Amino acid sequence: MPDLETRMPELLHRAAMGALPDDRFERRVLRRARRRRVLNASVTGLAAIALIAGAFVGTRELVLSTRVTLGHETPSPPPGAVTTPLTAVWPETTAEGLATAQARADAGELPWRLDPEQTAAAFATEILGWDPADVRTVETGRPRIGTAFVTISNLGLGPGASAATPTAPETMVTLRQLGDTGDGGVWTVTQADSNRIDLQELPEAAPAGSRLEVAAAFRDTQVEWFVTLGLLVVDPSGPPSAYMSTGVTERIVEDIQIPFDAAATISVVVMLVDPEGTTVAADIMPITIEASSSPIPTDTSGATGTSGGTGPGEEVSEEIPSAVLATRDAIAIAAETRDYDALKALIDPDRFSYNFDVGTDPVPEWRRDPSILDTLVAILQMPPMGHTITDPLLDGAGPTYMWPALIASDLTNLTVEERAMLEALGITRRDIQSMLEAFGGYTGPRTGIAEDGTWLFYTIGGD
Amino acid sequence: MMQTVSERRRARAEPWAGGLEELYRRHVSDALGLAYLLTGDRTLAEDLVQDAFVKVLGRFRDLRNRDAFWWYLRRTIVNLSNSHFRRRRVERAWLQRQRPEAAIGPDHDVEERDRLMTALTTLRPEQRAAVVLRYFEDLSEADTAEALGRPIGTVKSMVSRGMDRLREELGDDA
Repeated sequence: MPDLETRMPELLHRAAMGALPDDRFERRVLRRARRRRVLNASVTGLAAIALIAGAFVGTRELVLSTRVTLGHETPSPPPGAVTTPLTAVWPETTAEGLATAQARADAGELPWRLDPEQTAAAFATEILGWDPADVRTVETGRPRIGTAFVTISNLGLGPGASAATPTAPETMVTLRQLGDTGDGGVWTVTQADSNRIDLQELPEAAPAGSRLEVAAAFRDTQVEWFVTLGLLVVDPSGPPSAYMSTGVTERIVEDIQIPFDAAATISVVVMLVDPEGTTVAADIMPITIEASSSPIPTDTSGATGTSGGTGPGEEVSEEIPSAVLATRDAIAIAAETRDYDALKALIDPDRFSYNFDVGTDPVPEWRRDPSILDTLVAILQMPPMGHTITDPLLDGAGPTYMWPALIASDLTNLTVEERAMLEALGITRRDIQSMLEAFGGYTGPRTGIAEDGTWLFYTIGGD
Repeated sequence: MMQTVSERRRARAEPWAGGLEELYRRHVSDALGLAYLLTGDRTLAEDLVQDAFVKVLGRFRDLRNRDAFWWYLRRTIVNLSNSHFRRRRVERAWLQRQRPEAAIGPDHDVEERDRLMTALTTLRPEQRAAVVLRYFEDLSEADTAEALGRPIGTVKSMVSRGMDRLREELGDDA
């Protein structure tokens, strides 16, 4: 008989057959894993979207101080100036901005704007955040005068060293000469359409103040990519804003609010983002706002609340359901008064996760260390971030509203307010560095409440 | 039909481009087997594997390098197993109390399996992990040392003494 060392591999493999998985085990594992992915996507995904929104509103050079500014940003109109919105994505969204760009091009300042491929390449680097060395552009046609199609792809996204890495996603960029045509007319990006995103057909125009359902499905995605959806609003009469949500899902449906200001320009943006924050695929569709005869509401708070700003230069705002606000207040009061019975009553043991563990009763630990509750109160008093899109495969899940807004912050370029929030939580510069190295974004204390008011999680820290 | 050891290894090393389900299905049998050998307890093995999958599948960066997924998962299972035994601090009592569960299969297989599992439970947890990684996972001594976070000399000693102990426990059959 062979010696034990020779027989050991086969003996061990036979012994291991004593524990075979069943379907029940698979459902449990995947459900928990998806839940954790949604939470982690919320942290990293929103930080990435904040950067992209910053790029849209012309603040990317503030966000990424190492990036070379191309010098094509259109200056903001002075207060009170009349502007005419264009159905366009980038760089200009008003007729006045386009006229300025054309004048600069005529003066020889913006030669790249006279070439659709170069304009598409600039869009890839400035808006999608791609490394210029990785951008590949192919002009695929000019169906009519003043319109060009350019396909852009990121060579850094595949095919890579692994045979499993599929071909890089391609995005068809539509460019138009919205003013002068011919060799001297500047090109403007008017639409982007990725081969990995199926965005439902959207109207070219929507009434001011109306609601619009946006649905998208995703093809050939990779498991580490996040899904994000945003409505970017450039409003000449006020600060630009970006409604954002992010998560891990195969299909998203979001009900978005069209602004009341018909002078604003909006674009629906659906993106796939990788763990490094790079946009790997994007569908971007501008929508014209039609003036509405309905009165503009002066107070929209009513049954909802509004989150505060999060990003460096842009504002994230969305309405928070009253059920969420009620739960937030109940948690904060119970935590502040050390009412452990009230806290326990707010926890559904089947859904609440404490430090990623579902079913664990956190109250004994909170009794031992009440400072954990002080942190909870502190983050609930801070502005929240945009809500996450949840995985439809998660039982009973809906949009989740998360605190604090720091989750969506760029830790490499903090505002004064963000620094104050971090200090209030006792997070040091060294902690921030550790977060950046380990995760690339904020992984400090955070909590989330479902749309129906169910308290879903409280995580002290870590990923 | 049951896959051979080499078939399972080949399948594990094939390129992967699917979702969570495919990753789970590709690795769950090996993961449960490893955890079962490390703990000798099916329920505990399921708990450890569940936690390990949730940790690794939930971390996007761990998924970025798909070829390294099993490496991440295996390391997490070994770490969780070691943490479990350290935390419980009832190892001796557990070793005396613990006996492998009856498993489904032909009688002679069950008997042989039970004898091996009983023998394995006489090893210290880290010694058991060294033997299992070396012979079940077919890792080199260097890779076993890396997976356990121990010096290679310590691992050589743990494996050698562990095998001596198993020979004693298994008697003539060894």
